[in-house]
Amino acid sequence: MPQNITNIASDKELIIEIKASSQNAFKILFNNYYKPLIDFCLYRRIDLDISKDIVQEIFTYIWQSRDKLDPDKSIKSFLYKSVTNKIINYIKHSSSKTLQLDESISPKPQNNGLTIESKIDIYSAIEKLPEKLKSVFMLSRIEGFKYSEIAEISEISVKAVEKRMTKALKLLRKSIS
Amino acid sequence: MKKTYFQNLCIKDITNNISDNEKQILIQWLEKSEENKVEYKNIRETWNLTKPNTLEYKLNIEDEWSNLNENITSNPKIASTNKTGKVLASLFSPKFKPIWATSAALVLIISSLFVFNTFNSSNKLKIITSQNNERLEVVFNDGSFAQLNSGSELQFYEDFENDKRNVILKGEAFFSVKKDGRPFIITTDNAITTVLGTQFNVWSRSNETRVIVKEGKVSLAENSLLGNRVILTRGELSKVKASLPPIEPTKVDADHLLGWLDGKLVFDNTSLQEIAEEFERFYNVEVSVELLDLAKYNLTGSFEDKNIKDALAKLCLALNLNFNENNNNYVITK
Repeated sequence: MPQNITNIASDKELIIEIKASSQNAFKILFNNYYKPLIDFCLYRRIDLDISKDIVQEIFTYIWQSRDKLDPDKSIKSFLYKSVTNKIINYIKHSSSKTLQLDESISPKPQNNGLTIESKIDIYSAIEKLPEKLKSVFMLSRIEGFKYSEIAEISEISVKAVEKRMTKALKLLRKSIS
Repeated sequence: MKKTYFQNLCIKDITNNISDNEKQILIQWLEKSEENKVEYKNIRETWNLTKPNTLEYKLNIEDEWSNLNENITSNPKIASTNKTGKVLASLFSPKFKPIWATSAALVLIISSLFVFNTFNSSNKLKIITSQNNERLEVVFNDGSFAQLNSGSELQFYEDFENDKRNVILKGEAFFSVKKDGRPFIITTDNAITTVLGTQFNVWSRSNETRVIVKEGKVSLAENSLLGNRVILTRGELSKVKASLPPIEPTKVDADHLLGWLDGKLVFDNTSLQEIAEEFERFYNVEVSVELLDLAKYNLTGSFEDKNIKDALAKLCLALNLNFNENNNNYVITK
């Protein structure tokens, strides 16, 4: 499906349609967000199969609870909030699984002036961040969310987002240097 | 001002979260010293270093879409609040109702690009309901069975899926699940109970779900996106209230608490309101409570009486209350 067509409709329009049980609109929402959400899980070191389960569950929930959707609320925030919560929950229940890197889907070190080793160091440094900091940092770094959006997703204040970002970068700098 | 304040400003600048005002403050601070400029540069460098690389993996979005359709059709969770199978079918009715008035053309283009899966209509949805004062035994196609307590309901597809066995429960049932590799999943209003093969009881009323395990292992999760869960083993009880996480499992006398299987009513620090409701289902009568301080009354004990009056007499004696009767309507009073 041509990407530019799917993007014509705003999320708000899509949600109104989905509330009216439009499967077309639901498919567009799915096409727009499925892969970015899987990416986000993978960056969080969740393996691909679990990532798919997580994101599938969220879309299943959206369709089944479509009558409860509010077009005036950001579905994007809702999606990332759900993914974030599910990841945290998953990590809590299987602390050993996420530490193993799946070689096949790990971010491929690229040659952008840095040695491969230093790049890998950075990923493991991010990995070692406390969960609260990591979650906020990834939302900003990978998804480019505004602080206000991260605050909404993480259910914390904007001030708390600022604090966590500052702390995360401080820790990253320390572990890199 | 503190150093972290300016570090915060640097990061806000780098992540495009800085306001015009703050930008001015940041610029002034940077002008102040070479050290400050180095600080900014370092932070930016760290930021640049953490730039995510593109992930390389295989993902076929159309396959994923098909999987989603399967998940939706095989998990009639929300639709379960309705009493008949009609609602389930209408969810996936092939008729589209595009009301996209502003962009009708768009809908036309897109609707021709995919077809929604409809589910296998030969697989019958079964709804089994027990009346008050009635207990039913339900045998599933996989050889598992359930005893359905009074005033309860089970919904399931006659043929389970290849990879899971889904049932929806309202009320109370004791399950004996046969192990066959597929998880057996019981969805209630506010919780999801998952097992592989074991014996356990699920009670679900008034947005609360309680699970007691007689044999084996059971997973209990709240029915929400968070999906917090606990694992229960033999002789343990846990419950989910509304959409709160399940409570930590506690050891109980499972055989005693599951007295209903032997025709007994067993209460464990149970509220008078709930006891009245259980009496209604057990004896098929109306029981109401007319007390202002209803919440104060809890009871632990069991009833084996054949007659509602005997049971109520005992209950009222224990709680120092009275009851009167009018045409199978019982009222508990002070």
